[in-house]
Amino acid sequence: MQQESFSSLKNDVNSRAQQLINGLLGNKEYNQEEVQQWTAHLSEEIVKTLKELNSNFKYCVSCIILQKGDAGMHMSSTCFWDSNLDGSVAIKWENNSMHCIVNIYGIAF
Amino acid sequence: MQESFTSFKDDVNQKANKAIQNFLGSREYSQDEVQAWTAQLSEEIVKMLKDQNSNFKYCVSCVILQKGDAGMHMSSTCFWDSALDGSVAIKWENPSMYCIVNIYGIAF
Repeated sequence: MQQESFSSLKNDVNSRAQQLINGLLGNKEYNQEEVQQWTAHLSEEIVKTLKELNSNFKYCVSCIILQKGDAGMHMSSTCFWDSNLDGSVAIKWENNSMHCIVNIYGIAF
Repeated sequence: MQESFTSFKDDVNQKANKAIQNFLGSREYSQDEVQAWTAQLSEEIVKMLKDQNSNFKYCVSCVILQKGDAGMHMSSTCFWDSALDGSVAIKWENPSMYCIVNIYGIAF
């Protein structure tokens, strides 16, 4: 049987992750004391939902929360993998006080 | 026996730190060039990892953040084989910017 590719899950992953980010951060304002917990909680929640969606992949999820202020930020990603099977999703979300960037890598094994 | 990422973690750390230092060490944050820098740096680091050990798949992300008036936090969670897979997170800075590189090495 042919091994499935991450691309087949991509849309589902995207919508689940967006929902989680919105659910956790939607109504919140950037808060120095709490933000570390938010990033940890968010990346854990996202990994849990990915495991439930499809446990035939290994997942690496990173979550960045950046306060809206006076600083520029850029991010790039390069991967060495099997382009037929592996894949990634990058989500950029924002509200009035902060940006949230989530990177999800799904690797077949 | 299949090798683990931990066995060459220190090497990866050292080489990546050197790559960042060489590339960004003397530079000042520049809005026009920073997108090219992040892309080049993450590509260079992946090439270096492939040469070091091609029995792993690698995902490398590179963030460059201008020093300014904004707080930033980052977390990572992974679902993998903890005996074989691993990651390295590097935080580097100079007077005008921070550079954060995340390297994930996955056995397959």
